[in-house]
Amino acid sequence: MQEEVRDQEKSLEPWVSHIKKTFSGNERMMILSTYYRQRGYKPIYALKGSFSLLLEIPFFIAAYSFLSGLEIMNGVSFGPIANLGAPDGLITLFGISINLLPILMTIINVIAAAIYLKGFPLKSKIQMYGIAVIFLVLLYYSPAGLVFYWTLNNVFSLVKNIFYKLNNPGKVIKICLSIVGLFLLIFGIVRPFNSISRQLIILATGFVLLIPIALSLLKKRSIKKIKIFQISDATKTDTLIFIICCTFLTVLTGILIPSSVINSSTAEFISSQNTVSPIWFIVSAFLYAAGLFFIWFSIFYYLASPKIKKIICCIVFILSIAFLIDYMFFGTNYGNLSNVLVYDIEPEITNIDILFNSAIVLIVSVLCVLAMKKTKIVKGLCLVLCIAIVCMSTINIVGIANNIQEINTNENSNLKSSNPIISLSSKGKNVVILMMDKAASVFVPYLLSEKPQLKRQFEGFTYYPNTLSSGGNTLVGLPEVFGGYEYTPDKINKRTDIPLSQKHNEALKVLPAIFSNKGYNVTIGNPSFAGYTYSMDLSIFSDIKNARVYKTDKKLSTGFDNIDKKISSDIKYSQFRNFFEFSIFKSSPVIFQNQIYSSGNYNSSHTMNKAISTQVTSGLCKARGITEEYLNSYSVMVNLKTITKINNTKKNSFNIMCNDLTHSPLLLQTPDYLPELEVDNSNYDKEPLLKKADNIKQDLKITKTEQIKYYHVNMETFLLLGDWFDYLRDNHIYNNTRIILVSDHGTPTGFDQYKYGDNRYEDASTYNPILLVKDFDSKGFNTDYQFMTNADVPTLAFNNIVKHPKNPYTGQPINNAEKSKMKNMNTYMSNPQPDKNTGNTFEFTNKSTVIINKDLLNPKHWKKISIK
Amino acid sequence: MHSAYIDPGTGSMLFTVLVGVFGAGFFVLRKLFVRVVFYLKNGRKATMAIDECIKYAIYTDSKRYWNVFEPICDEFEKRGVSLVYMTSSKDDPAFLKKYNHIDCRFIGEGNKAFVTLNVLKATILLSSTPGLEVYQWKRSKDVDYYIHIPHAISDITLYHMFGIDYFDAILISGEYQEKQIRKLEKMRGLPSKEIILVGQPYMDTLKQRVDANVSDNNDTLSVLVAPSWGSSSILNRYGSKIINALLLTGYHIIIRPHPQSFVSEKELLNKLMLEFPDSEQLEWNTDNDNFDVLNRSSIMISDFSGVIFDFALAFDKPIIYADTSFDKAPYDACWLDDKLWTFETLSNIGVQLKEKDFDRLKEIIDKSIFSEEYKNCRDKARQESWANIGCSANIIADYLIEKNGDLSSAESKKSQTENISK
Repeated sequence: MQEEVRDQEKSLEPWVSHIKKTFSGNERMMILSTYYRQRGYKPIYALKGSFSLLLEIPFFIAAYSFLSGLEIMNGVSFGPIANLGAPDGLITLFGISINLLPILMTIINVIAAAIYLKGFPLKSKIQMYGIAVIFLVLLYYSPAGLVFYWTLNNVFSLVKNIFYKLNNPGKVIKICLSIVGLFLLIFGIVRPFNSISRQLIILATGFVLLIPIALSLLKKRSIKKIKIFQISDATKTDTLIFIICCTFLTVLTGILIPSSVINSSTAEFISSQNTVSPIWFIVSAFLYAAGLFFIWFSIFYYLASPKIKKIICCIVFILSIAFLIDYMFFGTNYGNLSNVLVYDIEPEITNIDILFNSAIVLIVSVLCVLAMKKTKIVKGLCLVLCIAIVCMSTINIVGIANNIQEINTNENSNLKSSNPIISLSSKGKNVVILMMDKAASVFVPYLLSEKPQLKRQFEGFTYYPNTLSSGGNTLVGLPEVFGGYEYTPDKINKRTDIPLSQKHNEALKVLPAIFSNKGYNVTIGNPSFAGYTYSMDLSIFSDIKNARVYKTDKKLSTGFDNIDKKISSDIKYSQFRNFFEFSIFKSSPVIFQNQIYSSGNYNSSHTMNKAISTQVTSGLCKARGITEEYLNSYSVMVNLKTITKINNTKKNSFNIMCNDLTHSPLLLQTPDYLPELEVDNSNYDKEPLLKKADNIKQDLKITKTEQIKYYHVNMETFLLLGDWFDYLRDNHIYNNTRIILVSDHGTPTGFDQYKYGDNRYEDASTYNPILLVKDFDSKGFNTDYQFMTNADVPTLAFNNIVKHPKNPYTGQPINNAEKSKMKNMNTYMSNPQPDKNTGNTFEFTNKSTVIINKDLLNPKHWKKISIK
Repeated sequence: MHSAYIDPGTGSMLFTVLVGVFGAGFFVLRKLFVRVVFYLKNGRKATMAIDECIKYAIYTDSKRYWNVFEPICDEFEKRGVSLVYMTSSKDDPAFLKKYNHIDCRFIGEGNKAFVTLNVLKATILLSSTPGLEVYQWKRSKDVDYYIHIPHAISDITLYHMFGIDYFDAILISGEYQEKQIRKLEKMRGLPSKEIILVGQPYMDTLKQRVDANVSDNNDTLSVLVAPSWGSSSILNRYGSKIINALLLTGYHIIIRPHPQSFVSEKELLNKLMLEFPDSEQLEWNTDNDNFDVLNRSSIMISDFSGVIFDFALAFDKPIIYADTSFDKAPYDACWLDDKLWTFETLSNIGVQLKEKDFDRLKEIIDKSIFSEEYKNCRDKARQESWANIGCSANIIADYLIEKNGDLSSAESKKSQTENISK
């Protein structure tokens, strides 16, 4: 490109200098520009000459900032270079160490320039050599890795320059490409691959590299006869299509996808630590997208010849349609995301998915190429698509703005939240309900076997393994825990005249209201979805006397304070960076998706070294990072002793505390199950990971990261609770305290022995919550296999201390009589979010039924029920 | 309860609906859009037509060229065809004439005039000003045809570079000019312009005056010195030497300094006029109109090519030309290797004045006056450079009117087909 411009400038030179000599002032400028116009030369072409240089600058800056701070280079040696992360210092003369690599780089640079500049005016020579010197100065003290990269870059341009001096560079390139292509094809066929996508990519690349030589082997004329090779010049309509498609891609990846993620659960992107409005994440993604699709694409389009422009236009059109289809119709079942855009379960992309999607993309591409014959129609189509996604983006953004406003209103009404506390009386009676979200009962026997001290610490508890939750998530599973059998999903949906939000709040208040009426000190911590919102509206408890309500949104120290800070800055970083990456991931062909997602790392060099907001695991034993949600929940559980307030009065007390530690899967450092930034369990856990339990023949065969992570947080919860029980014992308030340890639902653990269907939630462990109950003065650790449900909790809580309890909101008696009347019970899944379940009844996504009074965990006792 | 509940839908349903709605709406909207644009375009055109409907416009940057345009205006007036004459001279002689069909307008000087011209609405614009699309003067979107008329019969390449490249048509006075234009077009890859051989109105007028005022004073010979100004002009270079030499010839000497000399070379003139005051033999002439002095002169000594050709071709009188060293650099002429017609012709129709010949100036003057050869060369030059003597204005008017007809019918055809296609 530079050469082309130089040649043109050379041919213009005589008259240009004549004009410059002859005329002066304005006239010179005007005559000159007329001359340029007549010769079809735009003065901006002078820039075009330096364009290739300008184009290099962003890449250089990117390479520079990437390589100069890349920690993995630190201390890594390469050949004679001892440390890639520092200047090489290869030669030492008279005690002064000299960096050889930058000098070598400059020499190569100068040679390359000399070859290239043969026959050019002195001005260009000075320019080029000047740049070589500047790079020497700039990079002299840079890390050897960076200089090495830049040296190779110069070697490449040296080779390129030699190439151009050859008689027939095109032919040589074609031959070289075909050799590489052939090699790749053989490599792709012969070498066994564990990932089909990699194999496909290698084979495809090899094939593409062979195309140029194949085309030149066929006679040029015969090629030209084939219609598809007759490429016309780009017209104004093509340019318009190009612009519309770039806009489309920018809006799709920069606004639509990020905004629909944020709009689906705005609350998760707003935390008390994070003062940045999530709208800024969209702005950030938009800037990335505009930078790529508008600025970069446009630069290349502008520089291209009319024929290449036509091809670029076609490519951008194909990209737009393929992106749209990939986003709309593929990868829609990858599951739930965290607020740093990491799926809670690594998306499983099968080879069939890849092949199917690749075929569709291929067909669409061919159709797009054919469609380009009718550019007017394509233009119209693109315009319509573009307007449609702009509208959708607008809807999303308005939704987000509304959500933010609502959340802020709730936050303001919540300022009264008390400090976290578990209030226990040393002389009266205490009832404590610990609701451990998602705690899985199936783990319990294995936990107890692995850590035998737990049985001692849990002295007095009765474990009910055969416990059912009717809901598979908090929204449908929680109400029955606190409200009893009147609040099972079936019953909630039967009361069609009352809004879901009201029924949810009622359920949360049943126990506090009754205990408060009986003169208990009532303390409620983190009541899930209070006020039927994420952010928990505590004001719903304002009519309950003597009630203390709190949220523990990071009010306690975890001992990881510096990590906390790092995490919140890291989350911010990820959110600013990864929304665009996520968009690209979602809209790219399935074959590339794993590569882009890179286990939630989105190919960030940053995450590997600094980011800790997600835990990146390798295998089942090693991991790096801690999540914020884990720390939030952990901060409460590790501080149970601190927040326990013992009063010496006779006043009875009632405590509810919800906690998400068991909902925050994390690989912990064994054998003590402690959170660490860097976890390496390879000495303790040998793969294959088998967990054994007394009395259970079937071992837990852990094969997935999620399984081990959930196992770990469940274990940690039990260990922390065990400690706390010891503390209660030491303070003589254990025996007068009734403790109910329960979860709202279980975990879809994915072990084969519990699965009764293909769906991830068609897994008995999903509906098997923990239930462990310690009554006043109870002794020993018992396991009771009777059929229980977590709707039994109110009955258990009132047992012997509140006679004939009645639901103050419905007037119905509270008991578990219902259970004995039923043969089957239904279980349900719904969308997990309150704002997606407005109205008076749930809309369920999954329904199953189980025979009660039999082993719940046996898939034979389960039956899927299709939803109308 | 917290986290990992973000499960964004892709909104493919909504998308499908929106695409359907916009897709259907698109074609309706486009139709509407086309209609609105059509209405705006044509509606505006219609109002514009009422507002201003110039068919013929002339623009001149100086009153100096009134002699070029006056015959054309007169012709239009005679035919009763309306024409707008736009000038950048407030005191243009055009304003003194009482025309019925010619609308004379002062449109400001320099850029102010260009602002008007750049948005002008007219079918045809005729101008002798070069530099269209080179300087600030740009083609107006609403002018259909730009026609250039030179104000001399000399080489058409004596404009600053690219000066006439962006006109649609050039009205030339001699066929040799067409060759020059075509050569430049080829060199620069420009589309070929329409070239019409019309002649030169101001020369025609001059000729008419000459024919009407046949000089009767043939007894004494008068030698006219009509220099240009500047460091290489005759008076600057030879000063008193040439005046002395001329006085020695015994002929009546008329010196008519260039008007600019009275501004920039006052000192030199004062010195010379003091040294050689007006006398019976010597006359300093400062008439506004040079016709009389040219008419009564028998021979002219000049370094100013324009007036030389007027004198030689319209008055058919001999000339002596001073060394007119000429730097082609800024001109279109610079692009062509051929010798300029002007200088080739000069050397044919007269003697070059050289200082070493001052002694035999009388001999040279006598020879020039009575030379048959020079007369023949003058005839040849006239033939080459001045076509259609006496009827150029008529031909120009014919051409402009015919051209306007062509352009109007093409325009109406175009809008008709547009209407049909819509």
